[in-house]
Amino acid sequence: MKTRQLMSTLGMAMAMCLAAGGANAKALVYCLEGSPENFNPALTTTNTSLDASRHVYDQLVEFERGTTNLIPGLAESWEFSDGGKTVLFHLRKGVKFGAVKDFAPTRDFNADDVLFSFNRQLKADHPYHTVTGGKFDTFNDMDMGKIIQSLEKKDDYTVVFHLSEPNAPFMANLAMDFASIGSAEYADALTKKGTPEQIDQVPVGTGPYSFVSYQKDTVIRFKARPDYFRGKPAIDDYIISIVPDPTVRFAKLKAGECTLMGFPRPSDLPEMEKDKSLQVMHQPGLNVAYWTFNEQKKPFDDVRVRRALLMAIDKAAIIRDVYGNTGQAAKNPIPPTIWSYNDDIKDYPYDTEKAKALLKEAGVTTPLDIDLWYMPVQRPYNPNPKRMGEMMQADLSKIGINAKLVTYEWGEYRKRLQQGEAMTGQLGWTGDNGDPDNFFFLLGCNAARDGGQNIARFCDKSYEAKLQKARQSTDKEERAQLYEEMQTIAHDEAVWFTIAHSVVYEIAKANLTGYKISPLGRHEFAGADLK
Amino acid sequence: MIRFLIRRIALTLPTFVALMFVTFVAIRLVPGDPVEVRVGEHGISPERLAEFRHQLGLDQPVWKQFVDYVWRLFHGDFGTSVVTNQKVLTEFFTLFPATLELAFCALVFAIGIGIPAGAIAAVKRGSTYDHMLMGMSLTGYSMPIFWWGLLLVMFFSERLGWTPVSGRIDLIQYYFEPVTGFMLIDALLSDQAGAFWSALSHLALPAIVLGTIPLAIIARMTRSSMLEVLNEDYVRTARAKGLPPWRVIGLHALRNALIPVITIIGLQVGGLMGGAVLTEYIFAWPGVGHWLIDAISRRDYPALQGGIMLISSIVIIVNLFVDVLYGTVNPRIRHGR
Amino acid sequence: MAADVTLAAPIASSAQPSSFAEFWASFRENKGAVAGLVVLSLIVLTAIFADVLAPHSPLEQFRDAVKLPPAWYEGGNWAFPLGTDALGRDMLSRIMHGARYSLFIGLSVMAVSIVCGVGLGLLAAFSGGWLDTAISRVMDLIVAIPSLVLAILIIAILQNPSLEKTIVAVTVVSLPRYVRLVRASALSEMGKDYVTAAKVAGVASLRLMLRTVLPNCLAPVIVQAALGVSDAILEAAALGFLGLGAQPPTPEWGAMVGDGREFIRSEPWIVTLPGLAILVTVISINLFGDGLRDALDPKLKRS
Repeated sequence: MKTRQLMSTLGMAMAMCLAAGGANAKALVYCLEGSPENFNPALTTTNTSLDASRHVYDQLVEFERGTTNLIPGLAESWEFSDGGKTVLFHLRKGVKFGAVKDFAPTRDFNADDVLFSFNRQLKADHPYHTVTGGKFDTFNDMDMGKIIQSLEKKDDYTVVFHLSEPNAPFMANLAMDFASIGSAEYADALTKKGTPEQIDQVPVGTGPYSFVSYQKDTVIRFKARPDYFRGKPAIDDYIISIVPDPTVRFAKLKAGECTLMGFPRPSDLPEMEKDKSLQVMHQPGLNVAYWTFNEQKKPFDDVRVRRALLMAIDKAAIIRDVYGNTGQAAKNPIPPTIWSYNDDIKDYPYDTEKAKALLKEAGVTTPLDIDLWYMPVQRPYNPNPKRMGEMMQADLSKIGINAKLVTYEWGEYRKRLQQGEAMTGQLGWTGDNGDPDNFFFLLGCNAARDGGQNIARFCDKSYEAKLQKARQSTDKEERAQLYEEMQTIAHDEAVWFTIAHSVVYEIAKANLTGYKISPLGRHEFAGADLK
Repeated sequence: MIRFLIRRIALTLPTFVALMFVTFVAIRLVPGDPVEVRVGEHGISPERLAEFRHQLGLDQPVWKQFVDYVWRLFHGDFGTSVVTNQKVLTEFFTLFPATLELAFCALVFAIGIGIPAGAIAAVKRGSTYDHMLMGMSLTGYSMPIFWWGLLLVMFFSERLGWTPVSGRIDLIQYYFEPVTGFMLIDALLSDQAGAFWSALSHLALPAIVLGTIPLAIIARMTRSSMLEVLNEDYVRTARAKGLPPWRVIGLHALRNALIPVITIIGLQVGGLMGGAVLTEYIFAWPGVGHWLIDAISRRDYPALQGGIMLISSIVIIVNLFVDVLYGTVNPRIRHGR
Repeated sequence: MAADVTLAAPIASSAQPSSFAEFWASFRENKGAVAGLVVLSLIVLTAIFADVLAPHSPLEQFRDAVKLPPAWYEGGNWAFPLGTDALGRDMLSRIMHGARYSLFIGLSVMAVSIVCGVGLGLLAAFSGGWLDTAISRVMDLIVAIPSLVLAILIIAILQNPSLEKTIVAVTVVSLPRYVRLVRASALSEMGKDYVTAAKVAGVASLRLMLRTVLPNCLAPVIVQAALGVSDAILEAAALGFLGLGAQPPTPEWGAMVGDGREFIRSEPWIVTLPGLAILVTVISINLFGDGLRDALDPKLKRS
C-alpha cells in the first residue's frame, strides 16, 4: 500500500515536472480575436468566447471534429421512445473531471452532472440559475426551455429527457456548446465556500484540457489532461493569446508568437500563401452576407425598384476588393454547402443601364435619396462592411441614387434595423446546425415584425406556406423540393441583394499537424500535434 | 503649510462630486441599451429584456439610480460589468498595473533622454546639434501618435524583427503567476532566465510611442529653463572663478533648471493617461485605456462609469500631489490665489 | 494652483500688444516661423482650391486601378501621382481634399473655444465666489478625464459620429486651457494699477471687463489659439483613426490612416501618406505658433 502510494506520488511528481515545461512539453498558442466574457459556454454566444472554454468541456453528443456529424460524447448511446417525445441516454462510465487550483474532483462523471447542467438553464428556481447574470441566450434562442419538459435520473448512468413534442434538430442542439456538462460536485463545493460565481470563471469539466489561469485581455492557459477519456492530447500546453487586430495576429504568427490564427484580413492572404513557414487552411463558411430593402418603405415596395438596385451593384468588384479570395458571390439566401441549394437560379447581372430603365419604369424620380446602413463591425460573413458600403454608395450614384452611409454601435444597429428604421441595410447570418430551415426562417412572416429577424419585412403567402410545410415534414426529398422553390421566390421577388458566402480561413504554422478546420467555426486542438 | 494642504484638498472635493454626477448623467445619455448589446443575431424576447433590465436596476426612477450609485461608491462598490459580470473595481485593478507600467516606462524614457538632450542643447546653443534637437522636438510634439506607432511596428517589428509585435511577454517560454501585475517586476521575481528581457522588449515600442510627446516637451522645457539659468549671475560667477564647465553645468545650472521641468513632468500625467488609450489600442496592450474603449463600444455602462470615475480620480489625486509638492518647493504659490 | 500658475507664467510678462509692423519685423527674424507660415499658406491654398488642383474627384473609385503605388514606383501610373487606395481612389486628390477637413476642424474648434473660453474665463475672473469655483471645478473635471476618452464619450452621447460632432467633442476637451488662461490673465491684469484706477473712476464692470481687461489678455490667447489649432487637428485625427470622426467616404486624414491600417505591410503608402500630411500640417502650425509667441512676447524670445 505504502509503496503504491509512494510510486503514485513519484509518478505524479514526474508528470508535473514534464507538464511544467521541460524541453519535451509541446505548447500551442492560439491567437484569439477577442476576450471571453466568461468561461461558461452556456452563458456566451460568440465563437470567440466559446473557444476560450470549449476544451474544458464535453457534451452528451458531440460534433465530429471538422464536420457537423454527430458522434457519442459523454453519452455512449441513446434511444427514442414515445413517438420521439422521450430520449434515454446511457452515460459513459469512468469519465474523470479535470482538477483546478482550488478544487480536486473526488468522483467520476454521472447523471447528477447532466441534471445540474441542464436544470441550471431550464429551471428559474435552480440555485445556480441566476449566478453570473443567468443569461442563457442560446438555450432560449433554441427554444430548449419549451422543448425540454423535464429531466429524469433513472440511475447514476441513465438520464431521460422528456420533451413536449418530437423535435428532429434536438440531438444536434445537444452537441452545441451551451449543452456542455459541468461538475455538480464542484458547484456544491463552491456553494459551501460562498463563491458560486467562480464556476463560470474557473471552469471544471471532463474535456481534454484543464483550466490553469486567465490574465484579463491577455492570455488564457490550459494544461493537457492525462486522464482524459479519449486519451491525453498530444499538445501539453494550450495557450490562448488575445490579439484583436488581424494585422497584428498575422505579424505575431510570422514571428512565431502564435501557432494558429483565425479571421485573417483578405488582403494579407496572398502573402500568407507565399510564406513557406505557414499553412493556409480554408473551408466554405455556413453563412451569407446580404443587403436588404425595407419593403414597407416606398419605393422599395415595388419589385422593379428592388431589381434595379440588385442590378446597380457591381458584385464582382465587391468580391474582389472586399473579400479577396475569402468569398464567393452569393445568388441564394443559403450557402451551396447546405443541402437543397438551388443551383439553377441565375443571378441578376450587373447592368447600370437596365437598372436605370427599371427605375424609370417604376416611376422613381432621380436623384433619389436613400440611406444605406453598414455594420460597424467585421463579421465572419463580411470582412469589411464599411468598405463595402462605400463601394455600394459609389455604384448607386451611377443610377442617380444618393445613398447616405449610416451606422450605429453594433447592438444599437441591430436593434434599430430590426425595428424597421432603415431604408436599406447590410446584415448577414451564420448557420447554427446546418439545417436549411435555420436560414429560410429569416424571410418568414413570423420574423417580419418589429424586432424580428426579417429586416426586409418580406411576407409572401406561398413562401410562408412552403416554409411551414417543410418544417413539419420528415421527408428530406420533399423538404429539398420545397426549399428549392422558396429560393426561386426569393430570387424573383428580389428580397435580398445576396452578397457573398465567405470562405473561412485559418492560418497555422507549418508544423501544426492533425488540425481540422470546423464548418461551425470552432477551434479544436485535441487531435492536433506539433511536428 | 497644513492650511494650504487642507485648502487644496477642499478645492478637490467639489471636483469629485461633479465627477460622480457627470459620469452618472453622461452614461445615461449614451443611447443604446446595455442589455441589447449582449444579444447576437438571434434577437431576444421582450420579457427577457425586461427581466435583465430589472436585474440591472435600469427600471428604477433615475434619481433613485443616482442615490444608489453614490451610496455604493462610498461603500467601494463601483458596479459590476454587464459583459463579464465581474466587479468593475477588480477588473480595473487587474488591468491598471499594465497601464501604470507602460506610463511609468514611457516617462522614464522621456526623462532619461529629454533632460540630458535639452541640457546639452542649451549648452551648445545655436550649434547644429541644438537646431537638430529643436527640430526633432518639434516633430515629436506634432506627432499623431497612432500613426507613429504603426510606423514603428512596421519598421522595428516587421522589417527588422527586433521587437515583438504585441503582448507583454513571450508566452511559450515563460509562465509565472502574476504577483504584482507589473510584468517587469513579476519577471524578476519569477527567477526565470531571460523573462525580464522578454518583458522589457515587449514594453519597448509602446513606451517609446507613449513617451514621444512628453520627451519632446521635456527636452524643450529643459533647454529653455537651462538657458535662463546659464544667464544667471551665480553661474557666471562660478564660471569666472574657473570651475570646470561640467561642474558648473552639472551641479549648479542643471539642478536649478530642473525645478520648472519637474512641474511640467507632473502635468504630463493626465496627458499620459489620454495617450495611453491610443497606445494601448494600437499595441493591444491589456490596460485600462483599451478596456475603456471596449466598454464604450460594448455599452458596458457600469464598467464605463466606474472606469472613468477611477481613472479621473487618479489623475485628480496625482495633480493634487504635484500641486502640494510644488507648493512646498515654491512657497509663493501657497499664499497666492 | 500649479496648473494656473504655469499657464500664467508667460502672461505675467506679456507686454502691451505691439503694432503690426513691429510684430512683423520680429516675426520675420525667426526663420522657422516663416517657413512654417509658408508651408501653412500652401496647405491653406491647397484646401481652398482643392477642387481645381486635385487631378480627380476624391470619391471616384477607379476599380481598375486599385491599390496602385505612387507613380515613381514600379507599377505606378502618373495619372495617380501618389497612388490609389483600397477602393481605387486617387490618394493625392484625397489628401488635398483632406486638408479642408483638418483645417476646418482646427479652425472651428479654435473659434468656438475662443468665444466660449474668453466668455467663461472672464466671467469666472470677474464674478469670483461660487460661480468662479463652479467654472474652475468643471474645468478641472474636464482636465481630469483623459481627453480621448472624454471625446469618445461625448461622441457616443451625440450618436452617429460626424464632422460636426467631432468639432463639438474636441472643443469641449480643449476648452479648459482657454478658460484657465483667460481667467488667470484677467486676474493678474485686475491686480494692476490701471484697473484699480478705472474702478475708482467708476467704470462699469462690463465695460471694464471687455474694454479694459480683455484687450490686455489677448496676446496669450492668440498664441494659445494658434497652438490650439494643431492640438485640435491631432485630436480630431485620432478620433477619425478610431472610426469616430468624419464618416465615409469623407477623405479625412485620420480616418484614412485608420481605414488603411491593414495595408501597412503590403501597400504602405495608403497609411503613410495621410499620416505624413497630418504631421506636416501640425508642424507648420506649431512653427508658426512659436513664432507668433516669440513675436508677441519679447521676453520669452530670449530663451
